[in-house]
Amino acid sequence: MRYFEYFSEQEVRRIHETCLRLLETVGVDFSFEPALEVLKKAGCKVEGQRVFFPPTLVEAQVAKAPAQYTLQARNPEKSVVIGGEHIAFIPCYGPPFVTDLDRGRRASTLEDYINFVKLGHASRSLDITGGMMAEPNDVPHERRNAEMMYASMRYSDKPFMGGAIGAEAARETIEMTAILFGCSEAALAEKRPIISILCARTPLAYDDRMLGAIMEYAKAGMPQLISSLSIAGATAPVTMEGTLVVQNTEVLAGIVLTQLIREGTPVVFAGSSSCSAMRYGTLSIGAPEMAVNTAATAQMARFYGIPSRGGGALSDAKLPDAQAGFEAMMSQLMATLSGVHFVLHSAGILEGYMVSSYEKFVLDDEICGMCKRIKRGERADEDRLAFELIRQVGPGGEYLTQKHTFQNFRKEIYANLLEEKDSYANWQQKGALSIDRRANQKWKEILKAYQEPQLPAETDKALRRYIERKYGA
Amino acid sequence: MAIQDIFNAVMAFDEDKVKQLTQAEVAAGTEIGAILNQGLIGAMDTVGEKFSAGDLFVPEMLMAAQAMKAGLAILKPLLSAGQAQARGRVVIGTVKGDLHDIGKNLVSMMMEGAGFDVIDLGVDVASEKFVQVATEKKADVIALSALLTTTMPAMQTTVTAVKEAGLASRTIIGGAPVTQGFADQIGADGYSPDAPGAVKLVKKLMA
Repeated sequence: MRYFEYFSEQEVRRIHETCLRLLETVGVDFSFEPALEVLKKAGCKVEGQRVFFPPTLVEAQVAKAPAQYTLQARNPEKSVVIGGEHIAFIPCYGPPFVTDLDRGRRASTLEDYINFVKLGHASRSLDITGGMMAEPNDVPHERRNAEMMYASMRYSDKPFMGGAIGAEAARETIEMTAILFGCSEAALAEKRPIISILCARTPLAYDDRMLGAIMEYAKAGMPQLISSLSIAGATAPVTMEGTLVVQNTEVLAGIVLTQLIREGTPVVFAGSSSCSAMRYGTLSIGAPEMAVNTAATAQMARFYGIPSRGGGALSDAKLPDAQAGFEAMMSQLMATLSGVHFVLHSAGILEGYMVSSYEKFVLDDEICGMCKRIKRGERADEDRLAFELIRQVGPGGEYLTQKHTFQNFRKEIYANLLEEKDSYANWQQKGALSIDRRANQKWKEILKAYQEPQLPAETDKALRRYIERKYGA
Repeated sequence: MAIQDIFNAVMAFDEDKVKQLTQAEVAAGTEIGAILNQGLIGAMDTVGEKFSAGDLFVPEMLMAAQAMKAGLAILKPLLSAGQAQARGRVVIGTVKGDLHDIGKNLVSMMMEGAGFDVIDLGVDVASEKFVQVATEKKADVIALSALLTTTMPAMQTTVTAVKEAGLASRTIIGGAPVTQGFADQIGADGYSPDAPGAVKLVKKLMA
């Protein structure tokens, strides 16, 4: 598949050189002594917290990050390849509120998080269990990461995301994952069952908590997204090109650090930059500018030979309505066509990352399925072109009764989950439901039919014991 | 007529013109309070209305505020103590553990534009610092911002500290994960979902 790309080779070079110039002459702030030491030792000029990177160091280190790797799942059939020709979809990340059509908008709970693990587990199109899909506001702060990790490990057998709030959360994630797989932490580096998202503080800085976690995961060889959300007109220049440069400079600086800590440790070149909604001075993610940045990020990551992150089913809408639908499809289609590898926020997001919606989760699952079909594309092989069949059926014939159709239709044509394709009369008879109402029925059906992929009893006990020893019963 | 010109210069985001005209009015002996209230604050009130109506966007509102502040800087040394704190004094900051400041900066600038005296403590501000500065400066309002759910407890700590210190200052809170419910829960005096609302809230509290 050939990817949609904005830039010529010359433009790619120019973008890259601009980032190198920023890294060398303007620098990036690292508010964490251990990180400063690593960078200084590697040859960076360090003034206080400001780090200046020699271009040769940047290019040499970035080249060490692998182009492709596999996240092993508890169920080996569900392992996920990151990079190459693959696309992985992962649910929402970060919202402190949750909503559904029955109960409305409210602070999310651990039960909501568990529900999203279950919905993700049942999905054909979502590949990795999301992290922080709904913040468990009902759990004491210190305990939240551990309970979310346990839920991800128990209620799904797909690879999952790790904790990211500081070195302690990273450490805890690694320790619990070692218990889950019943292996040493060194052995975990071979399996790579988790991936986490760590972020810069735009513009041109990293804070101590993020750096603590970045270093912890890098040391352990655990895959991580080195991510930047630069906001055009707020934390980066109002031109998307200028925003791209701020974003990439930050990401490159973070990747250099990871490779210096452990050469070859897997990363994702993660850009989720967008623009401000200038009427309000807030972040807008359902914006065409976001889609533009997704394609730009994918192309630059390809230049660096590192898997990319961008896109998502992104929307600023308050409801799972038409705005939510077209904004989400815009971003997902762009991610698919521009060759993004890791697509976070692929299910559930409303209100610019503030809310996870049950209905939107299943609507977005449909979008992921459609996008995967689009990515599958076409192969103009002899047998797929079906000359013989067409000759046989001839002018004026039909294909509905052909054996070839009967044998192949189920795998050829995308089977929709939710979309309404029935006749008008039947649709009326079924209750004349809008798609958000259908989604409301659907998520309930999925949760009802959910089957837990049982953990071995000893593993489950060991995980609970770990949590109880740290935080009490 | 000339005060109207100052008003228009603010509406035209023309910092240099505002400075020039304010200087001229002061030299001409025009009453300082009139220049302040009708020329500068009056213009920002109109900017605020246009902003709420969606006719002006944030960068324009901030440019107008910048122009207004240039004029205000000229008047400041000439204002009486009463005029200086006329509308009110606000201490603002992002709470401990949180480094996000875009929203806070927007609120800060809009409040200044509305004629409030704003002391911005920056980010990662401990509750003790809020209390200390509010006490020293006799703040009318203490405004707290947070973007992270993990730092919202620091809002509670600060509101409690303010009460325990026996300060007369009112506390208001804001930030994406913050709600009216949370404000009620921690005993804050007010909450706003956005920057214009924060300015209206402070005006109401000062009334």
